[in-house]
Amino acid sequence: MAASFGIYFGSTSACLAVCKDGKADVIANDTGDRTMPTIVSYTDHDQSVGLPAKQGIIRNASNTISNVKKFLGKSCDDQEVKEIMEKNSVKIVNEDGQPVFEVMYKGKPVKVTPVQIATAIYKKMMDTAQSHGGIADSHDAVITVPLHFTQEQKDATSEAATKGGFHVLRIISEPAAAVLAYDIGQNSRGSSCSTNILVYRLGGTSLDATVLTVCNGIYRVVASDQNKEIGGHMIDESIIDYFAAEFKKQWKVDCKQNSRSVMKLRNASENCKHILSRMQTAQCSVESLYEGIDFQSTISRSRLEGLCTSFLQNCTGSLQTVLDKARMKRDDIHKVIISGGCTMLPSIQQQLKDFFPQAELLSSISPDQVIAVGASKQAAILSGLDDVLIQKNNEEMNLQCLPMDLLIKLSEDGSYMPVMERHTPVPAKIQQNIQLSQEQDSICLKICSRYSMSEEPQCLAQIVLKDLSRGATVNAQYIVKRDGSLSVTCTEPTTKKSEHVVIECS
Amino acid sequence: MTVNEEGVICLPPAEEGDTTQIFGKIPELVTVRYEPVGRWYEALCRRRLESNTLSHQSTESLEDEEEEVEVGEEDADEELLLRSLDPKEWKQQDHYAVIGLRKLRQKATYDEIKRAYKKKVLLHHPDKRRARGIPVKEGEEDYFTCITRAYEILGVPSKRRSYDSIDPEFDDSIPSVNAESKEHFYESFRPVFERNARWSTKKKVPELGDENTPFSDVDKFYSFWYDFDSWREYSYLDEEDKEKGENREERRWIEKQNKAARQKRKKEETARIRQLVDNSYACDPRIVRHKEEEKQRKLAEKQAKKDAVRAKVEEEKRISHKQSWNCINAWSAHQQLHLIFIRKLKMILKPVRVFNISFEQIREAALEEERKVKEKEEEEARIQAAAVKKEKEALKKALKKERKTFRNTVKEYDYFASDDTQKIEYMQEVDKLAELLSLTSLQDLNSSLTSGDREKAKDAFFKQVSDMHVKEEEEKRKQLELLRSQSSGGGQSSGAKVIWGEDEIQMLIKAVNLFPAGTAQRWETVANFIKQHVPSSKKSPKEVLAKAKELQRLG
Repeated sequence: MAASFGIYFGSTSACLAVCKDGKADVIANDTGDRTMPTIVSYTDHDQSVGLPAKQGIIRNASNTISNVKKFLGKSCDDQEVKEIMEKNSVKIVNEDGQPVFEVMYKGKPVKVTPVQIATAIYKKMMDTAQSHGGIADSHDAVITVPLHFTQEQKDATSEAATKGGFHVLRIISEPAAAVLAYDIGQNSRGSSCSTNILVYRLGGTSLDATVLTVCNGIYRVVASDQNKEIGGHMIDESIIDYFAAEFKKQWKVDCKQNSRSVMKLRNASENCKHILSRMQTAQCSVESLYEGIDFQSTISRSRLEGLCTSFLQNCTGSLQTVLDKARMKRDDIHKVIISGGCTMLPSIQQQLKDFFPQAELLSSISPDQVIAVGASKQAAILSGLDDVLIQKNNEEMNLQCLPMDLLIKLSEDGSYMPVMERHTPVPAKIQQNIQLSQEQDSICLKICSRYSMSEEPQCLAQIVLKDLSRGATVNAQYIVKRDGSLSVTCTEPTTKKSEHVVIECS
Repeated sequence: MTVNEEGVICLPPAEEGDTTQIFGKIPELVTVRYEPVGRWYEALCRRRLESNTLSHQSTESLEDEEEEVEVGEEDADEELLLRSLDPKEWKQQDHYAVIGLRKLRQKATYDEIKRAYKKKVLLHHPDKRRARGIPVKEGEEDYFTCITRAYEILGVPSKRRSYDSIDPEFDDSIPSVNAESKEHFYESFRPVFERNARWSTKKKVPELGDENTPFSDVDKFYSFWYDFDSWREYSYLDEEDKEKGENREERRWIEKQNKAARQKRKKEETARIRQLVDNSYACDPRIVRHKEEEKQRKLAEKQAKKDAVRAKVEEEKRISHKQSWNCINAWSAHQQLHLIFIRKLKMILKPVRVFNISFEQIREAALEEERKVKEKEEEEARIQAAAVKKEKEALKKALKKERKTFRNTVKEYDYFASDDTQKIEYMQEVDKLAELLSLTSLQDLNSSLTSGDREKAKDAFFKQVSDMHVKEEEEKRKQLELLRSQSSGGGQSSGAKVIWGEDEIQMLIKAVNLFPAGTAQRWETVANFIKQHVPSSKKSPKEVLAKAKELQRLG
């Protein structure tokens, strides 16, 4: 079986996962990291991608491009782009309405488009993929984009991936990939009851909360909310401020005066943040931080939590918003999936647990890799399928669905049992076995519909089977046809008594 | 197909008077955006692409599985046949008849065979018969084994093929070559070919066709049958089963025997087909007709070839004539005739163009005419020449004769001499006379000599001799005079002939070669050259030029 790749391309880091022989795993790159900074830098002699570029950012800030995801498929008129253009360390020019980076490369000014930058990163990932044993000739990949990406942004991402050497099977949304990574609803279609999942993503520059419903193994996004104000960089800033204050207290100088010092401190702070995700304390040591003075300090996890209390409070703000959008209560969420590097902070996970006491918090797959893993699983599903079919299915995201819940009345006191949930795609088919008690020789099956939980279900039809043998089992089959009509057949296998109704679609 | 896992569902019993009823309708479907993720999404898409709905699929598969074999009534003949079967002799039985497909035979499909077998099993299985109270023989003895044997053979394609190959109902006969089959060719051969076509490995067997079939198709038909590739094989008739061999050697030996027998039969079969095609070929009226046509065509071809050769020869002849005539024309003295001919030709051609007749044709006709005229002229000239020659020859002959008679007569007269010296002198004179005298004078002399009178003859002879002497003298004198006049008037008179000495001519040739055309004042130089080398010569440049031109013309 050929290997297939899943790629997560974030604004600060990227991750490549491979699904081979049914197992999904993340491929570590040449520096041994399982994720790679999405940073590209240009110097006098070469172009470097990933960690080397990030390390060189202190000396070569004006030629190091990061956060390229924000520019992909966007024009200069975009508000977000405008904001970044103003304060970016790299010169960005407007060329035919498209933002273009202007860097010094091999001593000459060179213009590079965001797609070119992304291509360089994808190429780097391709190199990583090729160096991984046994999958040298595989190119099939599923790439992920945020839920809110427009078609232009998707096209630009796809273009970059294709230029980077991947064969893009499909572009899927990041939260859906995260859900797929945990195989929710995939093994068997399970109960017809839907599962509500909240995907919480706290990345370098934004916070996304998405509620998905998995029904019959099919994923549907109910609501999503994005907060671009909150991101991992805010934690960095807090730590920088803390260290700068420490430095000032020690040496009576403000190291933030010098931008290079800030850069150095930022790298150190980021390291501390990563360490604090796993450890209680982190050491920080920067040589020659400011005017030749070395800096050494320690920060504890509790200290950090104290530093960014307001930030942590903001983090849960989005959760209520998205629940309101989905018209759900906290208890309706069955599972919470965390993704994004910042969610590795135990305090954030704890906050989520506190917010959803009923829900199961899924964090067994590393949050910074979960999306890539899910994408690789999707690639494995698609690889081997006909290309034309895949393309056709890519377009078919809008499905005809039942507009209401389909229920059967269990007893006269108003207890119901769902047969098919609202938004079940048609055609659909369900079978049920109805057990008669020893005193019972007839049944009455009432089929009802309900638009919302608060509403009283409305009876659509009833099926009556009489003169059955006591204790028999009746088989009920519900089929919703393509045109929306529902046919219900009740059969008693031993006596072959059967009743059949067809409820037309209006 | 999903079965609700929640298992047992209990429902309230139906009330008195409750019936199956429909109260409402399913509301209109809504379109919902789904994430294209997961395998169930793919499954759903696939299902949507397929034209069948879920329910359709399931019902169809059910139908396939629960295919029922209807047990029909069997006719008495078949029943009788089955009862008469001896299980030990199963190899000789007609498997198709046993299974109830006597009519379909090799046309039966696998499904039909399977169905027929099932039917037979339902009717004749020992258990079934026992249930009906019909006595059943024990084990292998029962005729039911024959039915299973038949199915074992017919149910396996390779075995069925070997059985089909030796189908007892197959008619191996072939019509012979006789008047009957020739007369009713299509009636007698068509069914034979149709019946043998089943052995062909190639599916598309050409038809025999009829009287109006184009020959190309007939040809195709025969080439197909002459290259007939048959799948017929004779493993069914193997004397012994290979598997019965106790050890490898024995099995090998059996296999060898079987193979030899099979090959022999196969050879016979090939020969049979060959014979059939040969017979058919011999009887086919189309072939006979075609052969006749071919013969005619060949004859005609031969004739045409002959004609062509003749035409070619004629053409060559004419071309050579034309060429020779052209040559003659080129340097013909009859230039005028040619001109006249051309004029004539043009006159002919004018109307010809109007009538659009080939120019070449007319030209050739005209050339032919011209040639004829020319030939005639040539012939005349030749005849004339021949006549002249003849005359000349006759004259010569006469002269010779006269000379002889003259010599003989003079000899008879003993040369009118008195002594030997005179005789020799007169003999010389006689020779001279004989050579010099013309025919007429010699005749005169002879007549006078042969008159018989010796004196008279002597006189005539001497008179002739003296006449001859006088003539000689005169000639000598004339020559001298000529020489004298030449040497005296050489320089002045251009009209007078200039005498050129041998050495002068030699020198002239040398000088002309030495001073080629284009030399300044060539002829003066040449003249000087000659003067230098031949001191006696006094040739003027003009004379030199004239002489050179003369020499050139001669050379």
